Amino acid sequence: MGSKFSSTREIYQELAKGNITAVEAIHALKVMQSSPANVAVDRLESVPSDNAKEELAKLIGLKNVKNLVREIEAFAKIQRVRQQLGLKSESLVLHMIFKGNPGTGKTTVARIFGQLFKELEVLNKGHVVEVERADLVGEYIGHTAQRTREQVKKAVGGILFIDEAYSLARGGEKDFGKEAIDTLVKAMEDHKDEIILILAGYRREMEQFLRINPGLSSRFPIILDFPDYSLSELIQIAELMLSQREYSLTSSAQNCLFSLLKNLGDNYDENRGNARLVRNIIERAIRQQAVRLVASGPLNREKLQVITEGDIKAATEETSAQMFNRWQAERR
Amino acid sequence: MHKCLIVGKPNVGKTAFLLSFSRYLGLAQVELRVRTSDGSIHAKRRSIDCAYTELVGPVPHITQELQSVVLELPVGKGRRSFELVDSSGIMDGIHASPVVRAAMAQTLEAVTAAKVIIHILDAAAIGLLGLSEGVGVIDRDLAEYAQQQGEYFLLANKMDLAGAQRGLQIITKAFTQVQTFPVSALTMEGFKEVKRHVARVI
Repeated sequence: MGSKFSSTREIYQELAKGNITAVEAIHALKVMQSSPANVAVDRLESVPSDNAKEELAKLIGLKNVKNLVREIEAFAKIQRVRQQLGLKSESLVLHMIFKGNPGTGKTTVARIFGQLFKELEVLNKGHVVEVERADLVGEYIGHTAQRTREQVKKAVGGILFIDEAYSLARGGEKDFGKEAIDTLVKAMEDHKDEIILILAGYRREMEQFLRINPGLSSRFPIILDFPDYSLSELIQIAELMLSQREYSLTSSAQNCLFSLLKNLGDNYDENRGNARLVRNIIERAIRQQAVRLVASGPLNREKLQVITEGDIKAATEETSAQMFNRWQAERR
Repeated sequence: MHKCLIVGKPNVGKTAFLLSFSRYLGLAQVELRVRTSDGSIHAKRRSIDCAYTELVGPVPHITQELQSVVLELPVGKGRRSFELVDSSGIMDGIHASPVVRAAMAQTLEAVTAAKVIIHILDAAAIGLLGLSEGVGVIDRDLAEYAQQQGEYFLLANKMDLAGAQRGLQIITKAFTQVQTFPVSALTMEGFKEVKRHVARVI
């Protein structure tokens, strides 16, 4: 009886149509309520608001990030106890640098950190302000400091996340990016306990950026490397994404996805280990499945969940064409 | 505003309780918000006497939609308003009329949205028929389901009729876990306790 209906809506409709009695409907509703699928959905929905750690634990790989979180958590706890017992407690400098290729989880982790640090009472608001060069650098002399300070002000109590931070150092001596960096450094000292600054960017560029600005790296005690995902991690990510959305792959679709990711990794260096690419493929496959199902006959619970080899192929034809275009454009 | 839903089999006195309880709380006329199973809403204003003759009667399934009244109760130092919602009766079997079936589906759906669920039983009928007939499968299942959804309690209605005392005994024996209030929608007997309890749970 448990799997007979896919939603409570369906039960109400069946009752209204006269296909089931009220007693049967109530039974079905009760079953629906206690079925694990619903429980899982409830849990998913409640996570972001109340447990960032669980959210983090759900991310595949990223072992160094998880270790760091454990350290910070322990430190924050101990500091709190020290404070209670009247011992000196140190405030923790948590400015960070995230290095890694696109799609390796930098932004995702930053967003979770905001919530997490709020839960650990390291930050009082825990919001994440995501900015890039254009938000910080101004158009005329003196404008930059003003704009940067504005962003810093917005981020007080939370995280200021600067994506592609190395671009602040590009453009040479006269570039306003330098002014932005100086303002940031000042702000880091002024709001030491109220703000966490995260600079993120590609590995090579970030390393160069820090070399050029030696004062910076000493101010960022935490440097996190986001390695490319391995092939098996990418598969795990795909499976997690699908199961969270209540879809599943047929075994031939699994094989198809595997060889596809392997090929991409071999051929396009930059996108190797890119989780965003996987997400795009999965989301496109889900849309392809919808297109296929709309055209097909009657639907059932199983059909709605299964993603076939055809869906994956249709989804990736588009992707690889797009990727080829981009690759060519970059070569030019 | 919290919803307080009245459920039960047909002809146990759900609508009678709605109107009578409104009168007990000091209203002379009610503004009924009627929500039909196809989703349309309209309001009608009636004096309680007038509504009583129009909406209450011996024929089952006079109420084929959700109809509600906004009431106020003193809670603590202030007053709190809540929506008392009357629903179409739930019965076992497949009813011949599609309108009634849709109304039953609507009732079950409303159960999930309600904060408080008042389940009414006909104590007189249960007293007359005995345990096996009176407290049917539907009442047991409904009770079990509704208890998971929110605050839940029973009203043993029609206590003014002969045989209701015996019915009440049967009911309390069948639903040992649930708080049961003997009432009569006709004479307003037992309303004081119900009022106090509702004020506590909304």
